[in-house]
Parts: sequence; structure tokens; C-alpha cells
Amino acid sequence: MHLAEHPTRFALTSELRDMLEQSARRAASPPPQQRQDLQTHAFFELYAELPLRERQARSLAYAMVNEPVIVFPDDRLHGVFYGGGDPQLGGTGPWEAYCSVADGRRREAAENPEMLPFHDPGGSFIISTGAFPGHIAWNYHDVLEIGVDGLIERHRQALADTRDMVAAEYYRGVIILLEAVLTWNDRHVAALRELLSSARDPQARQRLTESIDLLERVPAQPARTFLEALQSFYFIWLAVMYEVPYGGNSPGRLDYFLWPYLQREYADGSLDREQVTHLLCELFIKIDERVHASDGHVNTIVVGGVAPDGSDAVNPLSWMMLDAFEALPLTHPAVYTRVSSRNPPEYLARCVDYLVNGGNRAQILADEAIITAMMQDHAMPFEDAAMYMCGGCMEIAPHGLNSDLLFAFLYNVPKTVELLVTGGTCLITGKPRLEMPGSLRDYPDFPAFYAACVDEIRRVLHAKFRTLDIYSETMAHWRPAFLQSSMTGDCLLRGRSQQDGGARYADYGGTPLGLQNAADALYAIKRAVFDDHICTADQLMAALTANFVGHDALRRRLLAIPKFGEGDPGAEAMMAQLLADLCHVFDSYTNRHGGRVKPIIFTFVWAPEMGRNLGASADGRLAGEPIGHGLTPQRLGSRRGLTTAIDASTQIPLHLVRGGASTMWDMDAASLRTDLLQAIVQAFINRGGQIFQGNTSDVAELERALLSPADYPNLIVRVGGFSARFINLNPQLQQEIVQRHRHLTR
Amino acid sequence: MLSGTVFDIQKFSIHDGPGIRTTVFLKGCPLECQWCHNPESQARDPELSFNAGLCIGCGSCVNQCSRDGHLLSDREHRLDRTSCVVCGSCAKGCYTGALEVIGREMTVDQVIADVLRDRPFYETSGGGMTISGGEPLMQIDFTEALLQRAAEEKLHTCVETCGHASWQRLERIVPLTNLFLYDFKEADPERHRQLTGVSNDQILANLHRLHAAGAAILLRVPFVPGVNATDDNIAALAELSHQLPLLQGIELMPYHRLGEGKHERLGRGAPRQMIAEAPTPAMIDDWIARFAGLGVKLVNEPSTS
Repeated sequence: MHLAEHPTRFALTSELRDMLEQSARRAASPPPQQRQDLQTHAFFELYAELPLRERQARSLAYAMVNEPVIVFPDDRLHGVFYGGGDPQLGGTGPWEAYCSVADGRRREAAENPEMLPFHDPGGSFIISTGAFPGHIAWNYHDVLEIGVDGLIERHRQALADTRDMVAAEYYRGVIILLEAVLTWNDRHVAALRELLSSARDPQARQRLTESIDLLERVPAQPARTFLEALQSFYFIWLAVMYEVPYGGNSPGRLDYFLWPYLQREYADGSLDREQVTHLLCELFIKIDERVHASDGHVNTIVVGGVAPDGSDAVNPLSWMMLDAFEALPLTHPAVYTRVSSRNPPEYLARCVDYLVNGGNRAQILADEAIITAMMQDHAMPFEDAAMYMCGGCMEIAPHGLNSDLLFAFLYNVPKTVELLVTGGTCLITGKPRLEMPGSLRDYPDFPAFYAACVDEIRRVLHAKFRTLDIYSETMAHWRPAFLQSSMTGDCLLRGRSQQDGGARYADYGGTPLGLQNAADALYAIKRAVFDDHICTADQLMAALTANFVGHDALRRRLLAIPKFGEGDPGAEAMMAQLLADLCHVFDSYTNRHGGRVKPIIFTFVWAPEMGRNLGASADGRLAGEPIGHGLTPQRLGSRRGLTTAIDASTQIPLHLVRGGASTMWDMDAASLRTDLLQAIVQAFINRGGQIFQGNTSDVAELERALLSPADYPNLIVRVGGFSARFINLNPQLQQEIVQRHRHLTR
Repeated sequence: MLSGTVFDIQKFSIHDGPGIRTTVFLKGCPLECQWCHNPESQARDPELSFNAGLCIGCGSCVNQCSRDGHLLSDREHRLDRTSCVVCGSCAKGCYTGALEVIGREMTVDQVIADVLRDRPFYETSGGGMTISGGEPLMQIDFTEALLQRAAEEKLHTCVETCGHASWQRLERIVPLTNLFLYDFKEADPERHRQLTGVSNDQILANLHRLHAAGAAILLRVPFVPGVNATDDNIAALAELSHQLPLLQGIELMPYHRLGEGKHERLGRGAPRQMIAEAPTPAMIDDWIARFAGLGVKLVNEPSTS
């Protein structure tokens, strides 16, 4: 069934359908990007003589105020730009001496040479290089509350009060950028006035006049109505995205922050559910237009959950945002649901219904488990943890309080196991990859081999964490992100940008991939080589090197060794131990601002890609086969059914996973019953599971889409932390999704 | 500790009673239904199953067997069942699962411990434990003890039975069973004997007594095209359901062919002749419509295709 044909609680009007069509058409052929040219001109010509901070601020402000202004007369919300790179991050040409990536590379080579061997020579991926910024939300609600004028005033006051030169430079930069936002807004007003001057139709004139009034009020001044709040949010969100156009930067808890502005009009009947949902659809279409074709960009809204005082935070907007997004055939802004025992029971039922009918876009986040993990070791108080959101897929952090290296790298954990077995030779390239203390044959027993494995994980990760500290410094220096920092707590108080120690939490995050594959391989090694003596280390290494060709009997015996997910105590214990040890390695590092590095466990698009970088493994997996998803048992471990697999996935120490622990449960469409799924999700939550997602569409439909993609332009599938149009995915990813284990099959 | 012979414990069972359940399959059945899809359930004692497709010719079984029951020539395995006492030594060393002992002695505690692992799912779905078979009444002491323990654990219980046992046996578990899944195959006694090996006299009598005792009963009818899916049987089943007003309803169990191949693995000769083709969705919808037309409360829903 196509997404558009699913029964929804809100039916798209012809006006919205037109808007969708026009938005998609515009996004397909956007005007050329000008930011880089404008900013380069300003930085190297207009402001070359200014001190660095002011030069950075004025150059970006120049680009923003000169950005082409595009307004559409029929729209009620205004402002648009398409994509755009940030030369201060990874610029080329003249920017190489002034951008954070190039500086980071130079400094890493000089200051952290231990990291260099882990860089991928091609086809042998261990851990990613560099550091990705993004994946946070900022406090746009400050603008709703006090307006950009109010925010400027706060920074002016702080500037007047400070004697700290670094802080003063920072405050000046913020003020320059906030004023640029207002100038850019004024240009929209001017463009609307120009449209009005030539408009003849009274209805069109009326709408244009309303738009002019709206933009003359917000975002400069506090929002008074729901429409003003929507425009104020959208415009300031867009402006910050202009500054930091990175994936995963998200609206976060939008239902929570917008509700106070709707409450009065909703109560007195000036806006009803239909009208509000319509407006939300307009907002979502606008947010989507910027990145329409980039499904993996992942701007996420999380609705529901609890408030900082622990009370139920589900409000009418939580429901309406689900209705609106469910009705739209879009991937942005992804709407995810937080659920808590404090929420009304019918809300969980709605979330499960969304899982079934939401076009494979739902993701359920369990508040109690996630907040508990965030708060462990007194890392943060409840009121901050309760404000968590997803920075994109599921990078968990408190809204508006964390710096933006939240998802900074990915790590192919089973590759470490492979290299320890072979003594450092990559099974894909056949070449030496890393120096290792020995190969499997050199370990007297399994505990010694496992200890070497944990040591190597620590060596890889701590080298990476030192690199992140370097990149944090270069990012703070070369891309101060004034606008984003002005809406990040506690940058105003500390007088520092978010990456320079201004943010209340400076936690980094990274993604360890294929933990279940690594645990299953380790358990198979333990049983086959050391406990049951099914084979010697040399026989195993020979079989893995040959990708089991000529070693079929051994492979079958390895496949028969229990896997994580089947209820076997030994296999489950191995996964629990590996997860705990890995989390301890993450926790054992304190970063340059006293923050932590969070493990964020999900798989995004990397299941086939990481698999292609892995040779055959001791669990019987063949070279190149995809790895498993998040903390879900791999396909081999799903043989004892859904409840046993969920039981396994929730018995491991999830409370140690601070950055989000995702699971993927794809269901057979024909057997899926909403009541059954609700019972499963509720049990998952009761058992301490953190994040539940999965596909619920028919595999046969995916196969038909492979044959005739043109007939399925809006068939959306759950990839891993995000959803994408199936026909836009690469063939390996399409196959991986088609071949995933489906639960609930008869 | 009381023990019984179990041939499978199936987690996430969603078709054997309400909610998410764990179904405990006991070994031994007094009937030999021609369409039986679980022939491994019929014999009361453990049996050795050999799936040649999984054998890798590793020879482990040859070394394990003290009675020369396994022969290996040219990596091809041959099993001599005449000497086999189903000691299970060969299966323990068979890593691929080609050799498997069907049926194992388990204590009540062992079974209940496994069942309780899914308690979180019973609690959220209204599910519980189902005892099936084979025929649970053939191991009445074990069945009663399992139900007793389940009651102590406040688990919802179902028993699936063919009803072919003495009333004295059935009566013992009435107070411990929340729902009987009562299998009924054919209304005509002689036809019943042809298809299952026994008459339905005792089955019908027990059904009426169970109904009179106020037990919750869902009548389950394996429906095989051209065998018992007949006009006469439909009419008789409708009449029976009218005699039993407290029935929760009738559930048709459309025939499937998943049992094919199991006979050969159990050493009962060549693959069994297929008794019928599996019914099409249209055929099932037609049955449902015909029962509905006779005023029978069916729990099946028409297919949507």
C-alpha cells in the first residue's frame, strides 16, 4: 500500500497537496547556492583586516543578509533556502588555512599519531576519521518568548558586564549574527510588499497583508499567537540551519515548546484541531523542502514524554503532529514519540498505531529507561535528562544543552575481533592492517583473548577520543557557531560558544556498530576453540581466510553454536559482557571540557557497508554479509522468536548506554495485529528497552518496487534510525532491507 | 519431582489461545489423524529424528553410538534403527541438528521456569501458557501439575485436547484450566474412526460433560478439503454448536502441509502421501460464509485478499 493510501486521522486538503507538489518540484531543482561565494568574498576581501572572531561573524552575517530571498504569495509561513555548505568546517582553497577539518587533520597527524593506523586504506574500515558536527537541538523557544530583540539585549547586557575578552568577542559575534537574522527577515517583508504592490485579487492581497504583519512582528518580538510562534520558530530554526547546515540538527521537543502559544486559541475555539494540523502540515512541508531529496539528513521532532518536573508532557500538539506527519509522504521532519508511564494509555496506543500505519517512519523512545541511562553516575539531574531529544536518528541529549559533536564517528567493532584473530591481517584485502600482539593461536585461553579484545577496543576508542578533543578545539576556533550558541545553555552565562566550553554538557558521542556480530563471533571462538575443541585456532583461521570455502562442515558446526537472541545463557552473557566493557571504555575518558563520550548504538545505513568491510567470522557469517542492527540479535540469532529475542535485547545492561540504544524489529505485514504489537512494545518498555523501531510493510511490495521503481516514488522504509524513500537507497541497502528477518510470520 | 515427556516448548505462540503464549507440547496421542502435521507427537516415548539434509557426514554419531547404529560410507550417513534405543548420545554430538531426539523428560519446574521467561509478554497481552500435544490427557499427572504451578504463578492457562480420554482424567484439570481448545474433527462416528483411528463417542460425551461443567471451551476443527470439509460435517458441526450454547465459538483450522517430510525423518517409511491440497483463501472464505449462514459463531475472520 502506498503511504498516501493509509487511513489517516487528517486528510490532506487540495491546498496542501498543491503545496507538497510545488515544494517537491522546487526542491528538485533549487537555485544555485550562494553562501560559499558570499562568505568567501566577505572573509577574504571585505573583512580580511578584522580580528578573527569579528571577521568570522561579519562574513557569515554578510552571506546571510545577501542570501537570495524567496517568498511565495500563497504561503502563510515564510523563508526558504536550499542546502548549503559551511566553508568554516571543511572548506577548500583559501579556506584550508581557516577551517576546522584541515586544521584538525594537521593537528591529529602531529599530536595524535596513534590514531593514524586506524584510518581506512580502503575496504578495511575500522573507525571513521575526523569528527562530524551536528545532531543537537537549540533553545529556539527563547526567541518565541523574548524575540530576537530580547536575545540581542541579553547579549548586549552581558557584553557590557564582562571583562573577559574572549567572552566579549563571543557576545559581539552573537549580536552581529542576530542582527543579520533581523535584516534577512526585513528583506522578506520587502519582498512581500513588492508582491502586494502588484497583487489585484482581494484574497491574495489579504493573505500578503497578513504575512507582512506577521513578519513585522516575529521573530524580532515575542510571539503572541500560535501562527506567530510557528513563524518565529521556523524562521529562527532556518537561520541557525543556515549557519550549521549539518545532518541531525533537529527541532527536538517542538510540541512541548509550541503548546503554550496554542493553548489559549485552542481553548477558546479560535483554532480547531483541523486548522492546527493544517498549519503543522505547512510547517513540515517547509522544513522538508530544504533537504527534500536527502532522506538521511534527519531533522527530528520528538513528541510526548515527560516534562522536567516529571509530569505528563503529552499535549494536543503531540497528537496533531503525529496526525500531520502521518498524512504527509515525507521523511522530514521525522516525528518520533517519547513514551512514559506518566502518559495516558491511549497515547501509547496511538504510538503503536503510528508504528503500524505511519509508513515505516515511527520510532518509540522509552522515557524511563533512557532517562535512567542519562542520569547514571549523577551525570545530569532529572530535569535536564527529562528534556532529552533525538539529534537526528537517536543521538540522545538534553534539548538545547549539549555541544555538537554528539554523533562524531562510527566504529566497526567486529573488525577489531577479526584483526585479533588473524594477528592484524585484514580478511577482505588480505593485507596487513594493524600491528597486533599475536593471533588467536597465541592466546592460552579465552579470557586472555577476550582481555586482548577489550584492550584493543580501548586503544582504538581512546585514540579516537583524543582526536575528537583536537577537533573540538579546531571547531571552537574556526566555526564558533554564534547563532546556535546564542540558543544553547549556558553559553550566554559562560561567554563561550557551544564547542568552546559554553554548553552545559560537552558530551561527545560515537556509534559502535555490530556489537551482536562481535559477541557472537567471540562466543563461537570460546566454544569452538577453547571449550568444546571443535577446531583449533589454526583450523578456524584457515576457514575464515578461505571464507569457509572447503570448510563447510566446520561452518555448519559454528552456525549451530548458540547466538545472542536465542535464550542461551552463554551467548547472552557474552553480549552483556561486551556491551558493559565497551560502555566502560567510553566512560573511562574525560574530554577536554570535563564531558564524556556517549555510546550511541544504532546502525543507520551502515549494515551492508560495514559487512562489506568484514571477512568471514567465527559465528559462521560469510565475508561481506551485513551486520546486525543496533542491539537487535542478528538474523542468525532470531531463530527462537520475537519474545526470546526481545528478552535477550533487554537483559543486557542498557542502563550503561547513555546516548541511546536502538533496536530494529521488522514485522511481517500479513500477520501484524495492532493489539499484539502494543503488547510487545509495552513488554519491551517494561523490560527496560530504550528504542523500538521497525518496518511493517509487505516484503512483496518492496520486491515490486525493485522491479518498477517509478511506480513507488513515495514508498518509505525504515532504514535504521531514519526512514527513506526505498527507491532512493543504494541496491545493497535495498537488498539488506528486503532480506531482514521478519517477526510475526505465521 | 514429577516429570513428563515434552517434544517442544514454543515461545511467542499467538494462535493457541488469547494473547502471547508459550505452548508446551507433550508427547503421545491416542489418535492417528491422517492429516496430522505433528507426527512426532503421536508416540508416547522419545524418538530419534534424522534429517539427511542437515547431515555433514562428520562421523561424530558413529563414534558416539555404542550399538553401531550409525554407518558412514563415502560421507553418506545410514541409520540402523533396529539397534537404536534412543539413548540420545548421537544427537548430543550432532552440531548441525541433523540427529535430534524428539521428546525429552522435563520436570515441572524446568518447564515452568522456561514458560515464566515470557511473563512480561503475558502480562501486556493477556496471554499465558497453553498445554498441547500430542494429547495432554495422556500425561494427566504431569499436565495437572503444570496447571497447578501455573495457577500458583497466576498464569492464564489453555489446554488443547482431542477429548479422547476418560472423563475422570479430564475432570481433574477442569478447575485449573481457563480455556479448553477442544479439537473436534468429524461428526460422523464411523467416518471419524476411518480418519483418526478411533470413534468419536467418548470425545462427544466428554465435550457435553465439559460444557455442562461450565468450562470455557473453544471448539477447534482441523478442516481438510475433500476429507472432513464436507456438507454433512458442516451441518453436523452447526447442530453440535447449537446444542452447546456456552461455547466461545468454533475455530476452523485450515489444513496445511507443514507435516510432510516428518514421517521419513522419524523412520516411518517414505514421505506420507499428501492427503489433500491446502485450501485457498477463497475456499476458506466460503466455509466461513457457510457456517455463518447456519448461525454458527466462528472466530475466524474472512481473508482480506
